[in-house]
Amino acid sequence: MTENTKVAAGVWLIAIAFAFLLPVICSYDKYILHVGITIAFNIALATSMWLIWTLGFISFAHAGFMGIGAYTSALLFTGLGWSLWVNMWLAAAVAGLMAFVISIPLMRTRAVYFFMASWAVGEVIKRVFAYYRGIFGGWDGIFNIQPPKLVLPGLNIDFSSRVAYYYLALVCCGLIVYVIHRIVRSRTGMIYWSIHESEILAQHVGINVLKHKVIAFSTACALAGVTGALYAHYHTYINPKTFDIWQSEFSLVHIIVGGLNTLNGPVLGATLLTVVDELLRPTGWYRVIFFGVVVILTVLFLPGGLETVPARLRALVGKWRKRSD
Amino acid sequence: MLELERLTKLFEEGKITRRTFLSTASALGLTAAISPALLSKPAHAEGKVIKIGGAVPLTGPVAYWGISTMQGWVDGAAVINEKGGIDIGGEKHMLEIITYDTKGTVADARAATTRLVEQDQVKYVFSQAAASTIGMLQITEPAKVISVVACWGYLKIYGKDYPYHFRAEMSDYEQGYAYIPFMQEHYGKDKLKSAAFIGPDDQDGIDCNYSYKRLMEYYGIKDLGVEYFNWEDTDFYPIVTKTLKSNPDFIVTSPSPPGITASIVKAAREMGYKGPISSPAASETKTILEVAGEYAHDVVLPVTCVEPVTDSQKAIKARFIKRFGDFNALAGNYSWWIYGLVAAIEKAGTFEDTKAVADAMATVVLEDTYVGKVTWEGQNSFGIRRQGVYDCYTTLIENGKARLADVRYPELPDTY
Repeated sequence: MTENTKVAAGVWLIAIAFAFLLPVICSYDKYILHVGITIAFNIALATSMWLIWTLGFISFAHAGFMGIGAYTSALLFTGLGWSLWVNMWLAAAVAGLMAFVISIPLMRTRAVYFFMASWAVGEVIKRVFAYYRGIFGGWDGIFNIQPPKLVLPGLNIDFSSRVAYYYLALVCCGLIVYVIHRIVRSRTGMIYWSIHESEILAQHVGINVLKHKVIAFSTACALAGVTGALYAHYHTYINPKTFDIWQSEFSLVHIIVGGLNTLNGPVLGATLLTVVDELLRPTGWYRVIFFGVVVILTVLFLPGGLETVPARLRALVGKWRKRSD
Repeated sequence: MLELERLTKLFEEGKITRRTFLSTASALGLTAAISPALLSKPAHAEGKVIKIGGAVPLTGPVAYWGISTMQGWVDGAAVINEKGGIDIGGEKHMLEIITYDTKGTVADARAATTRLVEQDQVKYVFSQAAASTIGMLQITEPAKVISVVACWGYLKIYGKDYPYHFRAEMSDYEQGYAYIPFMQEHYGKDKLKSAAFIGPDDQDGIDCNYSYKRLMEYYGIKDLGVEYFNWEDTDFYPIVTKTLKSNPDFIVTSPSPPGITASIVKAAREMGYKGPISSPAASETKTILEVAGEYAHDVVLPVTCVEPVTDSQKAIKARFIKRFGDFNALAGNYSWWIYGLVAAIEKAGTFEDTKAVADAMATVVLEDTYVGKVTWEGQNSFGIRRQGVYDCYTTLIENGKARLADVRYPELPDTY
């Protein structure tokens, strides 16, 4: 383990410990816990979108697959009374399966064509929810998607409690990040980055590029589906607009501001921008200006995103030490 | 700004690089821009204060509605505070308005309302548009916080099961009992035997179509069908062409903002349509006149007081221009909400017991507001009086000129 890796592991441990202690630190303030839950959802969505980015693609359909997961879980709950504990797996399966089918033609496209095609897929998913009113509730959406309860011998947790849902979101978000971390650190992850660097070269060294692209896309969308299920049971209401192109675009901003090169990027970006967005809520239209300015400044002055700040600081300190010597 | 001047001087003298100059100037500019909004505190923060929260869309596609709503509350609070505040049991209380942006989304509305209720400890909130209302109600009803909103349709989340939820803005349904009788009188009942509907392809459009259908049935007018447009549409000729195929005596478009109403009017007139076109949600004439130009004729705009008539209306307009630099009829329509709430608090003699305030609010009648007489109705329809109903000021555009053509309180059926 290198010195940098040790520092990174330490920072991660502190962040996780802080996240677990947050309810106590904030004296169980419901608003702060709500922000914490929102951060967890944003991290889960941004990191799963980043998994697709490791192939070199940005999918604007990502929020649509989150919607598929949300609607699957919501319909199973309102129709059959099934709990989130079962539904979240089915949400992942349905979102993953739909992604698998769609990705076979979608992943044959490249660059701007993929961008346009994924945009269209996202829009079609939203329109399907809106059009089939009898099944999906149309634009009206689905109401009364209740949070689950966990009843085990000696343990009875009602997740309608904000604290309980915070921990549920935190654990699920943590698992999603961990799964993605394991994937990108494995040999498969290296294959994804090689496709990212040069698809043609990867193909020439014997990698089945389409297969890997389809699997990565389906996995990312399945994880987005889980996020969607968690989102639906927290907000208790969903409608097609919740999962439109803007949701994907916000995730993209989280990734760009946080950094595109490692998993730290989307986690940092989603956390920081969600907090800043909440701090700026009383400023009305300044929020929009701020977001625009942050993205422009990041692109101009912080290429590589927030994740590059430690390295930049180290370089700066080194330079300063060298000068003083 | 002194810092910026110093920075510019350093840059001109070549003492700092272009990159440093740009980044520092941007940071300074941003700080200067947002700090007033972050740091400003009301002057009366030390006294007895009743906080009222706004979770309204200040950005996004429905920001125009949200800003208009906020202006009504901010102006009303300032007027009431200047007069010494609210009298509760002989004690004066000042009003403080705290507003957060919801971007017009459900999730943001929930976050904004949670912040208002949990951190700012407000007991009264206002909102605008369906998405913000849905997000808000999840928090306000369990917390027994009174919500005053503009929200049409979504009847699943309205009525007896939501006793703290008031819908202050008249929807196109209530408006219909004023503007349809007016149109029948103005154009002749025999000339308005059939109608067609144009609305957006979303829940608002579906809900408004449902209101329209009930109105057509009530007045014995034949419904010739509906055409839906997408919010992104700019070409309305295909939709209007389909609508005109059935040859309706008049067209209702709702909820269509002024720009879309104008485009529909223009397309219909260019294709030779002569009948009247009603738009219950436009509430504005300037855009329609500018976009439709010479084609703006026989356009019926309910709840649109194009020019203040009464002294109260004139005073509201003058105050809004002074305070906000601008005035629109929609903001005028929302300006009575705060007075309705204040009257209820004074009537209940408490601001902490929101149930008592809600009960009192249902009985409040305001006689002289921007929208004339205001009451709360809906007992027979919804089992609870929570729908604001008021004089409907109907503006008529004829030959490119707008004029106030009718004022009447909606002739609601006994079953309402």
